[in-house]
Amino acid sequence: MDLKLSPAEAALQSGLRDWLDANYGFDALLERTRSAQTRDARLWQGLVDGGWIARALPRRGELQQSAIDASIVAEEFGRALVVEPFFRSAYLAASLIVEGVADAEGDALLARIASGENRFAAALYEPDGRFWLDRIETRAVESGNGWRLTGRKTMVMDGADADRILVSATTGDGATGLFLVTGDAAGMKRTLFHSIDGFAAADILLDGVEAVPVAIGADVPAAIEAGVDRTIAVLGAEAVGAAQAAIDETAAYAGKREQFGRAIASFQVIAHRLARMFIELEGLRGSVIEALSAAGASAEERAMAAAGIKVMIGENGRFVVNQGIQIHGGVGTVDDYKVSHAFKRVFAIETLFGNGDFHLERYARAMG
Amino acid sequence: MDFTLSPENAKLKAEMRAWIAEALPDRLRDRATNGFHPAKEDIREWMQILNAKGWIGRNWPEEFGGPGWDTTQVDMFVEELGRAGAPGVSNLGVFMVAPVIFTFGTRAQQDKYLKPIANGDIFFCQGFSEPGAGSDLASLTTTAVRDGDHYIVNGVKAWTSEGHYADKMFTLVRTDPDVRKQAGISFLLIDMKAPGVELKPVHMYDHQYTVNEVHMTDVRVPVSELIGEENKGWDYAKFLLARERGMVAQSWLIRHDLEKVKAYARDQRDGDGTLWDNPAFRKKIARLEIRLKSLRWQMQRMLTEAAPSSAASTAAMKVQGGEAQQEASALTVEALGHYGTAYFPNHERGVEFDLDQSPYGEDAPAFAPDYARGKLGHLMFRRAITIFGGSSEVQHGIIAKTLWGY
Repeated sequence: MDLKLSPAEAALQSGLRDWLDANYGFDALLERTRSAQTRDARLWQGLVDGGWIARALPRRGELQQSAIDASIVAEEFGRALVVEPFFRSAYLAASLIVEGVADAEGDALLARIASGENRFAAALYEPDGRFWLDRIETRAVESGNGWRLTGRKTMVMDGADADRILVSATTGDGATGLFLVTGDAAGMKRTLFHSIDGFAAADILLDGVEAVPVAIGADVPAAIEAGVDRTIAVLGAEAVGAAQAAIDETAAYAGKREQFGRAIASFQVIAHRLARMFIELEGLRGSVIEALSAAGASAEERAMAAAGIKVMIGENGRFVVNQGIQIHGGVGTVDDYKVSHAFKRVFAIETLFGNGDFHLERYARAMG
Repeated sequence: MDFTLSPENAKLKAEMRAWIAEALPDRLRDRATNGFHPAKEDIREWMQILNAKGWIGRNWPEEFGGPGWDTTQVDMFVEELGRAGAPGVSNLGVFMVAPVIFTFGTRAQQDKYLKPIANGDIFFCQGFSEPGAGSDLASLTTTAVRDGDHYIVNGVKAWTSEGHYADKMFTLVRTDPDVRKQAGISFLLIDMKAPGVELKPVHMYDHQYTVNEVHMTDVRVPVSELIGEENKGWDYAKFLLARERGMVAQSWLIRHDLEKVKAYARDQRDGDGTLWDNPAFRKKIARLEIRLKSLRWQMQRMLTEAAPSSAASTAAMKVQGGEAQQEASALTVEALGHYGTAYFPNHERGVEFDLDQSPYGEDAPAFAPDYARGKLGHLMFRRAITIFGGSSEVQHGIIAKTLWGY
């Protein structure tokens, strides 16, 4: 047992951090987020060329090490508040494939994600399903020699520009399936919007859209849940990075902002609030480590660890960013201040894939 | 990051579990979980069992009789003790003063104290706080004035837990009043039976006898009972308090409490089902369990030196561990329903003391389950966890100063 980063992990972290500092500093982020592009081609290519995208993807056979690598990358993304779509879309799709698609076919799909040949997203949630992955009204019908999908999917991260979308749907005999839809398929209407933390998303209307099944059967619902749980685990690390950025920004600001003739950090109420932010973040960090420890364990253990992360983001993570704004005062709500971006990131991560309350209930049920 | 337990450690862990299952008498296990502060005889009995195995001073170096475990192995043992519901030992002796003695004491002091501490033959209490020196501990006013080969000690010590069990008190005294307050303090071991030492029980709000004041009037303490150097006592106190903080965060012991709460909830009727079926209650348990799992990894992070600031992380764990213990007790008492508010007498005898200070009768409520005993008292005692060993407010101050210099 040793929770220090190995030399290879430390090199991954410092290499990415250096690149982000040079290319994705706060001024660059402001420019980037004001462009409303769904993905910045140059920045994305930089991340691919650095090897960080490939390194973060789940690798069959070394799931725990790849989860550790992914969490390192995600924490740095969170710290820099990167808005290039990856963890909520391609990484999610890869996790679903690892959990639910048989070896040869799955490996081929994973290779397409890793090579960047295709831009992947996953469409799992529906307008009337709230956070329940198993409330699937989208229908899959077999016709001739193929399948066609009809239904509505919501909050599909990077769904507007993805050219490969994994879609959950229910077949005529009530089985759940995962289907692959190409971006140019006829009968699909995609409405582009953005999450408040700067990521492209889409609502997708499917009307008899041609699709290829990659998994159908009784074990698919559990595989979908397990794939989402792997994604939640890395989003937990991203939330840690964003919350750490909020603390760093707030501590620095409190040290230089003067009111009543002195730096506000000299007031005990501010110093102790900052300390409490640190305590709460330590709690969230512990939950992320719990998930890493379980990355190679049973789906039940991973589900509880992922649910735990969500509960902690909802309580601890939200506390950190709320107080980050509070200590900044009014400027904390201005787009030019980094803490406001950290707030939005943690806020969005709590809600995506089920909020803290949803997962607290889930955890409580799982205790049996 | 490496989460694997080495084959050697996996084997040791299994050995620990098997040994505890074999060695821990059911009677002691049951008493340890009844919520009352344990009687001295019970503490000593378990200490002697542990000592015979050589596992009492789990974090002591081998040369002083420790098992030679590294921090991971020590944590494994704490985990197994928690899992088994084992009672505590005299923490004040084994985990607080003993490390000071083996780190800063003379060979003669080590020979005199370490073995008797390990065997429960010498119990220690702590003489740090005073009526006027709580969070501002360094402002203490108990004086020790050199007179030949003795110190003459005068003053009052407060919040002396287990003072009525103790043979000795490790004490912070002021030996130089003319320097910065932290610089004039020394660390003395004082005999509780020495002339001039008077123990005054404090009547606590849970009616349990756990705490005393110790009044000292012209107490003569041999100079040989000074630990380390004169006027360096504050350094030793900080060393000791850092260890106390770590102990509060031992999540395995709290996990055991939580498993008990689950069992009580399954036993308690609630409407058409049991309390375990009550979603509001179960979510509170879930929330605490999630926090305890986190705390476990925070501890591992610190033990394997993966936390950037060990001082800040330890302070953070002390705060969270204290709050988690308080929440565990709150849920325990909540599970008892009406009986959560009832007073349960505890006329068990300490060595020569009745541990019950209440003005009430001898009877417990007639229809209450056995497990209700002592739980409310424990909740009340645990309100002090976020106060002793450096209050949560002090911990916040440590974090702000350590991380940002605020």
